[in-house]
Amino acid sequence: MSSSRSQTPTKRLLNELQTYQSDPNDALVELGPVSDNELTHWTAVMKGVPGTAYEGGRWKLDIRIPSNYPNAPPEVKFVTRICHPNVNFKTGEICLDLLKTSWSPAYTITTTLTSIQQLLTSAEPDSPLNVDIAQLFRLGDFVGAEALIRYYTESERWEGRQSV
Amino acid sequence: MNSTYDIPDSTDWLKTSLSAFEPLEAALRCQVCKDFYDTPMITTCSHTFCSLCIRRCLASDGKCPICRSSDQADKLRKNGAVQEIVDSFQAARPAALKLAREDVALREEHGAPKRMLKRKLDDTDLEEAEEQRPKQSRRTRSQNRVQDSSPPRLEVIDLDEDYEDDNGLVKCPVCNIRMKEESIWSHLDKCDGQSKPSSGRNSRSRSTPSVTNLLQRTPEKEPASALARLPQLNYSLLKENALRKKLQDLGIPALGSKQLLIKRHVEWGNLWNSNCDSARPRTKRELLKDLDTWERSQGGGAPNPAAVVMKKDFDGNGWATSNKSQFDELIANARRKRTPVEKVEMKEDAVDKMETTAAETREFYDNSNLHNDLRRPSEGNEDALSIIREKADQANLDGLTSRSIVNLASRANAHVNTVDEDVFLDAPRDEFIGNSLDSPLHN
Ligand SMILES: [Zn+2]
Ligand SMILES: [Zn+2]
Ligand SMILES: [Zn+2]
Repeated sequence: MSSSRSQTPTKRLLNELQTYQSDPNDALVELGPVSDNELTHWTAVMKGVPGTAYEGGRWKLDIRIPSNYPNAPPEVKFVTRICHPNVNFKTGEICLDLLKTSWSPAYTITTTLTSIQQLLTSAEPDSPLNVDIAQLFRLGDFVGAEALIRYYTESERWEGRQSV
Repeated sequence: MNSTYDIPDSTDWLKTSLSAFEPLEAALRCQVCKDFYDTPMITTCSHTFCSLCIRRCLASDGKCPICRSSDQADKLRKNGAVQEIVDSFQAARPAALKLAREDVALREEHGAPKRMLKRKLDDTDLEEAEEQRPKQSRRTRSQNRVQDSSPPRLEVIDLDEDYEDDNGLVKCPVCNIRMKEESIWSHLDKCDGQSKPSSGRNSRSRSTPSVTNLLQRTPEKEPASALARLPQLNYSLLKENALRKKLQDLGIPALGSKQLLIKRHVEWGNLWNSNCDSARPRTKRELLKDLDTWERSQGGGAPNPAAVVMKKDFDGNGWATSNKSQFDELIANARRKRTPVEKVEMKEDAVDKMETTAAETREFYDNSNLHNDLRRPSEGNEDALSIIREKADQANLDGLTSRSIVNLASRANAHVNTVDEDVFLDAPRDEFIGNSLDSPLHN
């Protein structure tokens, strides 16, 4: 155990991958590098939380890992469109503290994705990236919001592969 | 278990007869690098990390990665007990894991009923060892310290000895040295990419913890005599030329912008000071090599927002291109183990795969026809929204429960369909990321 550790994410990412493989994350259908020669570009498919308007949903996410990871957070985006106050419908950008100012090197890719799944159950309409749906929330029109969310959850559902 | 590569990891214990070792091993791993603690240091908030890991974190945001409280590098203290535990655990790990896996394999092969298995377990050395441990643990440990002139086996690169089965060895993709597959991941940490025997030997002697060293705080022997920690500098008060001079005096590269000089000085401080903490310090030359690796991974020192293309970084790691295929193999093997079988399959699964793919394709087309009827861009949502809102209001008035919302939504959709013209953007949905970014804008 010498301390000759270059500050590159390779080793840690392999470790995270291994951990995920033997101890999968309930929030996810799949997770891993996009291709064999790009260990810093991952993709994930997330499940909707049962009992919420996102129930039954499947979203593909794109994950880019910076060279100074874990000192800097991964960049995570929705590829599958999702109707959520804190997610940009077009670009998939996610507004989540964890991915910006409150990132900690102790977080991992899977814990980050778990947090994103949790965001689905606790929106913050006050810092919206999707004004339309945020507006419904702010107006207190939860029935309308839920209907809209369910609609997109169903119609945009990621069908890349059959889920397990 | 045979020829798949294994990244040592706490979850290795999960499917063995010693699954309770999973949290134990997890507790011996650093939350930053996820590896076993290397030169563990304790913060003022009583959290423990590798010296280099916590120094980098504190240099970057001044906060503990676990509890986010503020701390300073000069407040760090060694956690010698943890170092000792980690060293001993690592030494015991391979044999223990082997036994624990064999137990399970045995159960699977023979479908041994529980009682038989129980007896089997009772017979193992492990069980005996466990029974004896409490009585002698303390003494054994100190005895070990003295007696243990032959270093623990773990993490040692088996160059030649005692591994009769050559197939059991794997080659490091960087330096080509053959070793036990369990060793390879920790070896990759240290492997400097320098090919072959001499450096291999070096890293080998480094990697075998000599337990006696643990007793001395900062051994004066070995590398440099001056193992004084570097102080932090107030860079804003320092003129560029003065800083450049400092770097020269330290014997590290002094080229580049002030921004780069600062980053380099910070990283050198991390490397240098964590080496001072280490019970097994390395030479300045080795540290300079680390600094160089760091420098290359920074892509020329550019501050690195997440968007930077990672390929560059990847090459910078010192993964020689010539060894790429072998590295790919490591990853591929790791991926093969992925639980929901991934779409990028190994060759042997190809036939199977083609069948599934065909089925999936059919299903996919069925689905996509279906979706073409339903899907539309959401931009300019106004119409859809107002209709849905209308329906929702209606529903509220009618006192419908939320159960009928789904129904409601699909009815609303039917309306929307007639309103909205630009249907189906992404005809075949494939799994390609670039493709699926298609937004209404691309229409
Ligand atoms: Zn660490
Ligand atoms: Zn702390
Ligand atoms: Zn090597």
